[in-house]
Formats: sequence, structure tokens, C-alpha cells
Amino acid sequence: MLSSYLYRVRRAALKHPWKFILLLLFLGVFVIMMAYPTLMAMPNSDGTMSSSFVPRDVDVVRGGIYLILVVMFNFMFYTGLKNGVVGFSTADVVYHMAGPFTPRFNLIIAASGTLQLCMVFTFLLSTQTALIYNAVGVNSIDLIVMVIGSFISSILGYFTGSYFGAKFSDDEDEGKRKIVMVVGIALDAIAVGGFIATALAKNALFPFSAKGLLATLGNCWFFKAFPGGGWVAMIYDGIISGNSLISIAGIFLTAAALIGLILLYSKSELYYYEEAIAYAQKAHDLAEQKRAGVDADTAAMTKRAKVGKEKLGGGDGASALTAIHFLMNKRGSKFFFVNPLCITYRLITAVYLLFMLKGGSTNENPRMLIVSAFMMMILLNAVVYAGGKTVTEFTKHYIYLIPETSKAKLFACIKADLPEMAFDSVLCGLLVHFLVGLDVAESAAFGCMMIVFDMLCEMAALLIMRSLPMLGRYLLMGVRYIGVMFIISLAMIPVIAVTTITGMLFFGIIAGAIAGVVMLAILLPVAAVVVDKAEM
Amino acid sequence: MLTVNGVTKKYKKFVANDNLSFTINDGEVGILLGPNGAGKSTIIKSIAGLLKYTGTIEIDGFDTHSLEAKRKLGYIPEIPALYDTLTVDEHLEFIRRAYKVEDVSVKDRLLDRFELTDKKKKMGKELSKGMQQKVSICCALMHDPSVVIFDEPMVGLDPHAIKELKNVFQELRDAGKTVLISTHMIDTIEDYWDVVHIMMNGKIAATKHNVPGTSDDKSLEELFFEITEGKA
Repeated sequence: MLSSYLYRVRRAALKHPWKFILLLLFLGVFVIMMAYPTLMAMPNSDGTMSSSFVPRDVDVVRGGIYLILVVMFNFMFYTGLKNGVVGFSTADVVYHMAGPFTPRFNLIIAASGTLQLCMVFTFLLSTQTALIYNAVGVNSIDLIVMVIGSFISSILGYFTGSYFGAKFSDDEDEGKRKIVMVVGIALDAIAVGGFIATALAKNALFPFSAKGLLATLGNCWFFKAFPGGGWVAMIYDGIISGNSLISIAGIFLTAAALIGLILLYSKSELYYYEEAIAYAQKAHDLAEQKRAGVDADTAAMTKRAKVGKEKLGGGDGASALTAIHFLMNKRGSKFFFVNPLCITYRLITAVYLLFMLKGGSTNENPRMLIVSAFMMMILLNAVVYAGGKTVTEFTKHYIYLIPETSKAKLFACIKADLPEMAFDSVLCGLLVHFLVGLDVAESAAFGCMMIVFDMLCEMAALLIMRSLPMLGRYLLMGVRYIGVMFIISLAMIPVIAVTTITGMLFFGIIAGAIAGVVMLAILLPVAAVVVDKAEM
Repeated sequence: MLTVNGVTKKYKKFVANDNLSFTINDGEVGILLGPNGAGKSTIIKSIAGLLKYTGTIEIDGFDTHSLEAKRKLGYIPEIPALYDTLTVDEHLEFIRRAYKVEDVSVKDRLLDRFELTDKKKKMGKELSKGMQQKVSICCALMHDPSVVIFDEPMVGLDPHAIKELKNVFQELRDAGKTVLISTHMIDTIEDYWDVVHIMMNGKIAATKHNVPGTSDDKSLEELFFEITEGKA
């Protein structure tokens, strides 16, 4: 069994030598990221501390490690619980599950997929080094522990969750799976409740300060006792706080959890094939959608759409496209017509800004966060709109068969996106008003600029997708985002120039919006022609 | 020999297979015929050991979930599933190793038979659906299984491949193998079948045997439409 599996894996890996290069690059980035705090802490040539040096607070570091490890454990636990044993392809179903391999052996496939997922998350975490360093003041060893600890707690979380996901994969066992989820949520609630109680007892909850709260969390027993993540964090906590008993307890509990999981998987009769087959089919469908140009997030959202009370509104000719897009938007949304991704992404932005605001240096002007806020918003919106319905619509054959002009069809699709864009721009305006400290006029202008930039994302992506099909679908996806970011960067030049000259951000934002409108006025007619001329 | 005895498969409250029982003997070609949604693919997947069910399914006397049964089974799914980054030759080599087939030449014989020799260096993702289906069939036949199950095998194949596949069915039967084919296309099964089970709403609604020299009062097509549409 093993030799044939290894043969398959080896042959497949040899087809992708670039993956090894990518791995080396990732490792290089990882090492640089880990060294970042050490580099920042290096004194100037005159022996004084660098201005970029952030002093280390041991309690805050301990709290940060507990928080990250517990969050990672939770995230991976619920992912595993929801999806069961994943990582299988439809080919695995035919050749492994229906072939001469035992269900236990086939878990190797799931394990390798899971390890890759954990590695990706760990890498993503390591790319946030600068943010963590500026917010908490960690050193390189803290960071390495954070990353390795996250990896271990992710594995613990994922395999615990996927065990129960697989164990209760039957429809009849859905109730039992829900019980596991409730237990997980109860544990989370106890940890958070215990932390709030500890913070209140120590008068650390108000005034709200990220560093103060993290320091409290570092000494909170509810987080130390948290299964998986908390136990792993205890090992390092004991070392840096000088309490060897905590380290020993952490080592013992982590080892027990790992051994327990191995026993659980090796001894129990698991039959997870049905769940795994369903997931393999889902992954196959998502891959097919991705090949059609739809982003993974958008594809996953579409997958969750359910038929409700929404009705197809009127509309003849090209405006039938507007009506059908409105219908799909409503069906894919749980909140009127609003794209759930938009709300999720704005929440991520809000958390990021809060973290930067409360975790950063107190004498920093919050308005300086506008650059980070804008970058985060536009990067996430590029995902939503550069892979949205308007762009993907023009990758399908039937739209070319509708007897209307390409211009009319394009405008009909864009029209359906406007309510989403408008709602999102209001959210963006509110975020920069309340968190970044922009005044009402600046915030309103910022919102308007975001609508224009969202449309720019759409047009740039559409032009690239339709005019460069020879690049092939995967390269095209990358080129699309690079192209979108290039166009947005061009539109940002007037923002920087006008703000620098006038000294007023409001005029800079207005200049950016006007530049965006001008670019749109050029791109829209070009896009209308390109979609008409492009070959499928 | 394939024995299905009292098999019931439910998805929540939906009964996909309702107390199914049938046997396909060695040297027989059995057909599961029915409209879309009749439960054919569900029973095929259950026989392949991919689903949980109540009742028993045995392949040459072994429970279908056992390794012994899996070693005796060849399964061709409805939608061909290949590894994107393995070549045709590597697929067959992987299967050869997985099933511990010592005769290496069987690979070339199958490739030659299904006109895949010039495609042996092509990767799975580079093949058309019909070609993928051919590779899928080669993989299923690689280990000389005693029971072979085909789920809608004709879909996507060109006329030559269909003709070749029909020859394969007959050869397998002549070699004493058990063959089970699921299909909804009556006109593709012609007269190479030995027994047809017509499925409707998860149950076997009728069974017809192909006995040479006898003439039934109803043709297979008439029987099928009588059951599925309530008219001849």
C-alpha cells in the first residue's frame, strides 16, 4: 500500500519543481520575518536604541502567545469538525477508497493535506511579524515559539475536530456533532468569561487597551487551561515567566493530547468515507468554478446559497441580466442584497485597525492609519470585484448569444453591482470616520472614492481576463490581481500628490476619486469593445 | 459472484435504496436500468464499499468493505476521476503496484487495446473526457478483477470506444467474470446482457432474464416504459 502511494506522490511532485523553489522562497521569507525583531532591536552606531525599537513586555508577550495559539486551535478545530476528514480528491475516492487501501491508511492522505493547510496558516502568521512586533514588542525567539506553537496547536485542533467530524459524519449523527460544537463553544465562552472576570477583578478591562488586556490574558488561568492551544502555550509561558511547574504541566498535557489523538485514530473504527466523498466532490466543484475564473471565497459563498422567498424582478433584453444578478445577490446573501464577503472583509479591516490603533504607540497620529486602512480595504475588494459576477459573467458563452450590444450587457451587469458597492463604501466611510479619525467630509469622500475604485477593479480585471486568455487560467488569475493593483496604484498618485501639495487629505481623496472616474471613462468603452471582440 | 441482500441506504429521510436484493453470477452481465434518480449510482457506490448501508453486499463471499473484496473488484465511476498531474502510464503503474500485479506487460496490452499507447505520456488533466474514461476502464481492469462494476460507462465515449467496451463486456463474461452495468440508456445495452433489473424510486421494479431461444411477450423497452411511465 505504502509503496504505491509513495510512487504516486513522488511522480506528482516531480511534475512541479517550482513548488520546491516556492518552498525555499517561503523559508527565506520566514527566516527574514523571524529575524525582524532582532534587526529592529539593533542599536544605532552611536550606541543609542533605534527609533523603531519596541520594548518587550513579558506579560504582554505571554498573553499574545496564549491568544494566538488558542485562536488557531479553535479555528482549526471548527474547520475539522465542520468538514470532517478532508483532503481527498475524486481520484482518491476511486483508487484509494474503492481500492485495496484500508480506511486507516487512507488517513495519510487527509493528514498530508491537513499538514499543508497548517503550514500555510503558520506562514501567513509569520508574515504578520511587523504587526505583532509593533503591537506587542516581541523578540525573535518569541516569534519562533508563536509560529511553531501555532503549528502544533493547529494540528491538535484540526485532528480533534476532524475526528468528531468523521465519527459523527452520518446524517443520523448530526445531533451528536452539534453537541460537540456546543461543548466547544461552551469552552470558548468559559475562557472568554473567565478572562473578562479576571480583567474586571484586576481593573484591567477599562480603559480598553490591547497591551493591558494581553498582559491580563497572560496571567489568566482560564486560557492556560484551554485544551490544546492553552496547553502548548504553557510550555513557553513557564520558561519566560520562570515558573518551571507551568512548563512541565504544559509538556505533560500537550504530550497527552498528542498520544490521545494517535490512540483515538488508530484504535477506533472510523468510517468517514461518505463525508470525505462529499467533500472531494465539493472541492472538485470549487476547482471547476475556479477554472471558470471565480475566486475560492466567492465560489464557496455561491455554494451556500439557498432558494428562499426572493423573486426574479422584471427586465427585458440586457436588463434581464441586471434582474438575474439581483436575484443571485439576494440568494447568496443573508442580509438583503449585501455580499456576505463584504461584511466579513470589513470586519477583518475593523479588527485590524483596532489592533493597530490600540496596540501601537500611543503618540502615533491615528490618521496615519489611513494608508493601512485603504490598502486592506482595496486588497480585499479586489478579491470581491475582480472575481465578481460581472467579470465571471463574461467568461460564459450564453452572454455572447444574448442579442444586445456588449455595452448594454456590460452596463446591465455593473448596475446590479452598484447597491453592493454603495453599501460597502458606506461601511468603509464609517470605519475611517470612527477608527481612523477622518472628519465627515473626508469620510464621505473616501466612501465615494471606494465605489470608483471598486468599479476600476472590475473593469481592469475584465479587460485582462478577456484580452489575455492565452496566458492560461492560473497565470491569468495572478496577472489579473497584479493588473488591478497597478491601475489602483495609478489612481492613487493624485491622492498623494494633492494631499502633499495642499496639506489637506480631503482634496487628495477627491483628486483620487476624480482620477478613478477619468480612468473608468477610458476603461469602460474599451472593456465594452474587448468583451465583444474576445474569443471564448 | 456478486450478492446484494436486503440493502437499504438512506440520506436523512430520503430512501435512495429500499431493501434491494439481487445476485449476479459468475459469467453473467447484469444491468441496472432506470431513470435518473432511481438509485442506481447509490447501489453501485455501496457495492464499491464507498457508502454505509444496512443489509449485506458480498463479492465472491467477502463483505464489500473488506480488503479481500476490494482486491477482487474493478470499479469504473460515472465521472472519470484521474490525478491531474499523473500521466496515463503512471496511473496504470500506480494501480499495478497498489494491487501487486506482477505482470508488467498487462499495462501495455490495455493501453494498446484502448488506443492509448500514444497518450501514455499525457497527464490526466490533458485528456478529453472520453480519453479519461478509457484510462479509468484500464485502471479497473489492470488487476484482472472477478467482479467489475460500471457506472454509466458509455457516457462521453466515441463510437469506436463504445464498440470496444461492448467487446470487453462480452470477453469478461466469457472469462467467467461477474459484470454489473448501471445505465439509463436502453439502446446501448442491446443483447449482451443476461439479466436486467429495472429500478424505480430506489427499488427493483422488475427483473428480466435474457434467455436465448425464448420470446417474452414484452421487449425490454416496452417493459421499461411501462414501469417508468406507466404505459407501454
